[in-house]
Amino acid sequence: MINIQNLSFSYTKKHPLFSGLNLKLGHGVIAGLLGPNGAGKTTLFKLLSGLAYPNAGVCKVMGMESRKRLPALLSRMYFLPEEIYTPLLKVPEFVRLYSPFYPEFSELQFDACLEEFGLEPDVNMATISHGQKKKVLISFALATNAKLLLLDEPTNGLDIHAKSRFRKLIANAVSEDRTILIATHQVRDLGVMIDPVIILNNSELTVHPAPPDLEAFYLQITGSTGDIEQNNTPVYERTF
Amino acid sequence: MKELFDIRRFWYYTRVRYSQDKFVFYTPLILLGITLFFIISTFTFGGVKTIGKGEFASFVFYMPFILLCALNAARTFQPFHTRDKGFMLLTLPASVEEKFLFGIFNSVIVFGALFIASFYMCTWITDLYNIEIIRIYHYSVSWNLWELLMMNGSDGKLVFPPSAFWPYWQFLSTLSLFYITGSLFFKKANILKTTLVLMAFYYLATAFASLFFSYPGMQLNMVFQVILLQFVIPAYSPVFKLPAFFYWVLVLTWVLLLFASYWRLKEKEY
Repeated sequence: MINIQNLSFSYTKKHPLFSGLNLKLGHGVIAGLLGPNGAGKTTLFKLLSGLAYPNAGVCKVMGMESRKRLPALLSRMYFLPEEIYTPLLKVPEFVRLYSPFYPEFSELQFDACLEEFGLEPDVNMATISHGQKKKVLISFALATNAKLLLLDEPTNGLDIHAKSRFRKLIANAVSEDRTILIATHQVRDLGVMIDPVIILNNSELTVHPAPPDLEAFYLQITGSTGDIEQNNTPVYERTF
Repeated sequence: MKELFDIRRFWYYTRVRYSQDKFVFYTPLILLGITLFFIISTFTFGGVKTIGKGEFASFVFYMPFILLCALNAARTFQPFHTRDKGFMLLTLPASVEEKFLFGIFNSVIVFGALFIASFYMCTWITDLYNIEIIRIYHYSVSWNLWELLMMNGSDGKLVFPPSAFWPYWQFLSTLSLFYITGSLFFKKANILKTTLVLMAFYYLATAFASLFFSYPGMQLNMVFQVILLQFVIPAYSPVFKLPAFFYWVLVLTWVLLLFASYWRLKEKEY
């Protein structure tokens, strides 16, 4: 599904972000991409979706070079960035305009996801909150049935109930020919469902099978404590 | 081939752009409507029946349309400069060629058709059909084959509309291409920056033509018409005898602008 070989990338000539990066990721997994701030998680997603070009090396998705931005590839992958853009349209209009680009888009699935999130199917995106917009886009992303889903901090802006529903939807969405790659800081939100874990740290990419305690494992690997949301559960829900 | 261009995908992309960027595309149209209203009301209800010589007519008829044409072309690729919108547009499953062609389609074909329709509507409604601004093209000479075929002009009457249509379209497409290219290269204040580049281009071309061909009586204004009206040279102009070389220089400029803007979009990164 993903084949990265000797990939180098830098925003400025003096400070390379990646140098000789390698990654192979197969089908049918929900992989978590973890790393401290500035490690390059979003940049890696941009490279995979053709929004940034590598300085050297190979970056292929489903056998196609992502920098070519071929419609055949773009229609089979979906990138949900952290900062989302939603056109000011009603949801049915949004679906009517954007779904034809994705040949395997399922309206039934989209409606089911919206329902799971507790959203009305004819809601106007001009009038809903950021979190609700994100729910619409997550539903859309899942309903495209794209073979590769790139989700950058998908749970940011979602309330606790929505996070739980998100986990459920993602767990149901994965299939043998589908890969979901999630970049996140919120290890607690997704820890139970991701396998393998990809750690991006100091320009190095390492793949590990999911450990029992992901948070501890991550801290051990990266040697940091500052970047993971240590305790994002509200006080009233914590058990002492 | 379908990877490069697919008519269905192009249609989907066109629908998305016109629906999601209403403000970008509809503002020039609304301004065009207002312009039409003012021109028509001035010459129809305002009692003005003649507008005199060509210069004034040029100003009244051309200037608003030129400004709107520049505004429209300059905004076609503007959403690509916004990070979140740009992400969405570039990852939308349409080819770079289709995304680029949409810019040309919107600026040159759609707005071009509206521009010319507006122009003819104005002249028809205001009964100013034979104004100097139109007549000038009937005395014009060009190396453009199609125009040579279409051009009938010695009697000063509009014999067949396409003969007048063509120069307008050439003018509009060249101007649009400048502003499209500018909008892809300049992130901020692209209209102003492109206008400055355009002026620099004009003065360089003028200086080049003056020096290279050394026509003693040649005025800047004549060369201005050569540059902007692209290949259309009034017969009474001293520039009339400029060799076809100059025409090809302009064709090359056109091709370079097309290539530069396409390349810029293709290489766009975030």
